[in-house]
Amino acid sequence: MARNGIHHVTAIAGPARRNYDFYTRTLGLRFVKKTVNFDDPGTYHFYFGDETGQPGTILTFFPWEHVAPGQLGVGETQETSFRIPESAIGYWTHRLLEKGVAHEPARKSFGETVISFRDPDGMRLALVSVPGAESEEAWSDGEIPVEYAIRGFHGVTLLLKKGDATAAILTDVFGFNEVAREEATIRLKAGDTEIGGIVDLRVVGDFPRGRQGGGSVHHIAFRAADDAAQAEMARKLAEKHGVHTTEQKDRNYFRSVYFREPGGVLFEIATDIPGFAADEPVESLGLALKLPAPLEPLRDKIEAVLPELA
Amino acid sequence: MAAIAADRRAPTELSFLHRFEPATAESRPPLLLLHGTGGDENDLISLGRMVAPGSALLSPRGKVLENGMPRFFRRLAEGVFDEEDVIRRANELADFVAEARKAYGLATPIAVGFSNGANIAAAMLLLRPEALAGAALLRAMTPLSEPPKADLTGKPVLILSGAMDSIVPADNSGRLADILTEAGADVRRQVLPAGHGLTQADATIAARWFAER
Repeated sequence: MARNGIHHVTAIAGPARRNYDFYTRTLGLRFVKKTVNFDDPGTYHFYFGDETGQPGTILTFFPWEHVAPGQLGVGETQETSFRIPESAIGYWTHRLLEKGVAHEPARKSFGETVISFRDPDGMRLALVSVPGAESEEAWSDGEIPVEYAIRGFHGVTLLLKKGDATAAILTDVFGFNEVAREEATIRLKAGDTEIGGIVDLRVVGDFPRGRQGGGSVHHIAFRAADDAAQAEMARKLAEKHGVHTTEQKDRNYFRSVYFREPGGVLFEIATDIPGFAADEPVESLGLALKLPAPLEPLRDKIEAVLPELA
Repeated sequence: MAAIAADRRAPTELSFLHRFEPATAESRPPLLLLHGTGGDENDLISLGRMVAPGSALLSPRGKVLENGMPRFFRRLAEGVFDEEDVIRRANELADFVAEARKAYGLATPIAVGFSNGANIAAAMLLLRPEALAGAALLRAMTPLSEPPKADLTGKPVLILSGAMDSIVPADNSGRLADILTEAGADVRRQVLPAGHGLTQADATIAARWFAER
């Protein structure tokens, strides 16, 4: 069953170990892949997600030990939100306090309870309590009770000068529909996709442009079932929206094309296949440093320069 | 805004167009930042701040233009240098360093050069060793086919090469390391999993190396 929605979100982080600790220990996501940035193999590429790293649960990072902090601006992702069960709000409020994570008091947005908080690099995150999330699958390593654990992405909020052209692409190419409006925000949802099914467009007119750096989202990837579905989306983008994607790049765990949407955000179309079990068994995901075949001869040099994680 | 000290001269009054950032930490060695082909005096400022926080930064713009792209010396082709020009320009740049040291009251700087900037830094080490206290050479090549005998005793040199560098042959940067070692420099060379471009590993290793200075 082909689904639309968010495939993954990729952001820029500061020191690798701090990033790894926060997402695995504080938020309790599974570390599903330890690899490198294929274009700069001396830089890690971390993937966090659910047990198997299903599309809609994957948050990925390029950690930089000496990163300069980013500055949020228009044409960027403002917030990335996770789904939690309604019964988990109290647990998470307490956990964020206990772990010293900067967060805001719970608020209502589109009828849902939202707790906004920041990761150690200032990346804007949120936990959103969603009715029915308790029956969705979740992964836990035991520290966070499984009934309270994160269930993948709720969605992302894009900060845009104008929303129309972006909304047109999301609806026409990626299968989203407008479902609600609240103040300056238009909510789009991908059919009946629950995990990673929401994109909110926050339209703010003239607002300064940002600067990418630590805590900035680098791109948002949307799902395509396979290469054929991806090619069809790329064709539609070019023919109906005059937007051209890059050539396909093999990312080992999915195959990707990229384009900058009219509002300035870098979008990707990523295939659901082959997934993270392509080069290691599900039981041991994330334990070994995995390299694509062309980089394997450089393994010693790569391992020599990557920061320690433990 | 504090008044500018009277002995500060405008950048235009020295022999190279350049950018200068005063030290914010006492006792850190100043950096001489040397950009690659097509770069300018602003290119390596953020790298300088990253690898040597608190150091004064002196960043000149190369005077040679190749199709409008600033460089520090002429080349005849990719990887083929006009060695006469290398010698002339290395001396010219060493003279500028002396001028700038007087104008800004600086200690002997450590060079941080990328590509063409690393090549001119290597040439300065060999031709005018007194001009530099050491050098971090990123993607450097051997600048002179018959290097002069220089005394670099105790000068620290970091050489970072890229295993996938399509511009610099691996044996060439290895040869440079040998020449500098033979001249008495304290050379550390590392081959990184990188191409010709700078990577995070360059910054991290250079920062660690500077922290030991």
